[in-house]
Amino acid sequence: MLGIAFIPISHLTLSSLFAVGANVYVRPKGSKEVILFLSADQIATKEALELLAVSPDIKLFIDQDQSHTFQKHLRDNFDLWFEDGRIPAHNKAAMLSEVVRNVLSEEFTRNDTLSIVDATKHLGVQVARLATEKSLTGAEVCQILHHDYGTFTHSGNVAFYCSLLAAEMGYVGEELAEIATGGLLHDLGKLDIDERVLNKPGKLDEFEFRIIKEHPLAGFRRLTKVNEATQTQLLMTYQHHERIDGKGYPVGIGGEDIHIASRICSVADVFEAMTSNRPYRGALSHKQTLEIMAESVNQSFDKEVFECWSKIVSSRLSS
Amino acid sequence: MLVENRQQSFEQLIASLDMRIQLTESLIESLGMERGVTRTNPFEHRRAARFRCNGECITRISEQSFHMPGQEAESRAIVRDLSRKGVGIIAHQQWYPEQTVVVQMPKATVTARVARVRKLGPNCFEIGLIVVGHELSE
Repeated sequence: MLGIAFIPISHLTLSSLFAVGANVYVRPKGSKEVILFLSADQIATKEALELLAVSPDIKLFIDQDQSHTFQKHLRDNFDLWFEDGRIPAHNKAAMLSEVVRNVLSEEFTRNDTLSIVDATKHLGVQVARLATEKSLTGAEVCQILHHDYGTFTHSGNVAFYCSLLAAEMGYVGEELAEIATGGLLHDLGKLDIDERVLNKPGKLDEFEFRIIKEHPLAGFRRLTKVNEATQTQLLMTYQHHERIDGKGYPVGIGGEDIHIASRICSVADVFEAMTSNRPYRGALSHKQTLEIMAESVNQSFDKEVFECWSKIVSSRLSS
Repeated sequence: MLVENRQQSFEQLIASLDMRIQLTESLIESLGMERGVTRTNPFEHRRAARFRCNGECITRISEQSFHMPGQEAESRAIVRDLSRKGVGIIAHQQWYPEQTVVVQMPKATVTARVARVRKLGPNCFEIGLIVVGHELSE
């Protein structure tokens, strides 16, 4: 296997009902070598999946060259699997997380706002549907999602968190899907920010920080050019860095002048950023993150929204 | 004669609208004090000098523009400064980037696109506009 690059995948993307379209390898605990676990057209047995579920030390990988095939396979079949009652919700969440990353990565690279809005609209509906699955807890979603910090991963995770939070606050149906799509779109303006500033692995100077602060405005401007974006999505993009005390940006509005979906997005955005690995620091634990965020309630965050999120995340910590 | 009529109709129209801007203390202080060319900083990307003017105007969100919830179509505002390419306005309500507005002043009417918005206080927003067209009254 020397010379081949591998990328990790979640065991939850496997099912005993279908093959994944790419060779899947395992790396047993303590080993540097990977061995073939499933060939591209082979279906995993129930026993093998049960073993993987209770063995977190066994890591799964696919050949980087087959990554596109794997992603395409998930993307092409996801709608079908989504309707399949035999596939557990947490498997669907893992698959959807992969699909979201893949679609966002492709669409953001293509850099066509209309195409991005179209693609995210469909994904938003799926994310919202999963968020209302009773068998899937918010805690499970936090566990399933990737936590490497990249705009695609971040936006996907924020969409999941926004949906969970909005669902808990009573949003359903189209409104919930609209918020999920808004989560996927909220950092659209980062496409207009110089990557050297965006990915700088250290502290930003004043000039760089001013550039970063342009992204809500840039995203809003992009969305005003396409008719398909809704007002909720426009405002989530524009206002997700506003603070409840009026000291945020770009406008400096506060309290209920900030759209409720933007207040939801703000909590989800900060939580996601703090619990993800960055080039210059590791991820903070959920507990630490909630403690730090709690200090900013009524300054940065809406109290009611934060308390609701805290309840969703804490259900896992206490269990 | 035409100019006088325009001036009169402008005054009548502006008198029919309530002034709803709640000026901040610093704005009240600076309104009467500042004259001439305004200061700038390295973070602004200005190509033309801005001149303080502090006059009243009537603003209208263009019918062709998108509208956001709670926005009044027509309102009374203050023109803070003018340049060859832009207008700085103080308004009581929030406008949104990319909206097109018509700014009617005593001697000119300007069509402009909202570039940025900053809240200065309750019912007080500073708005930067980019001029896309104008019509002089004389």
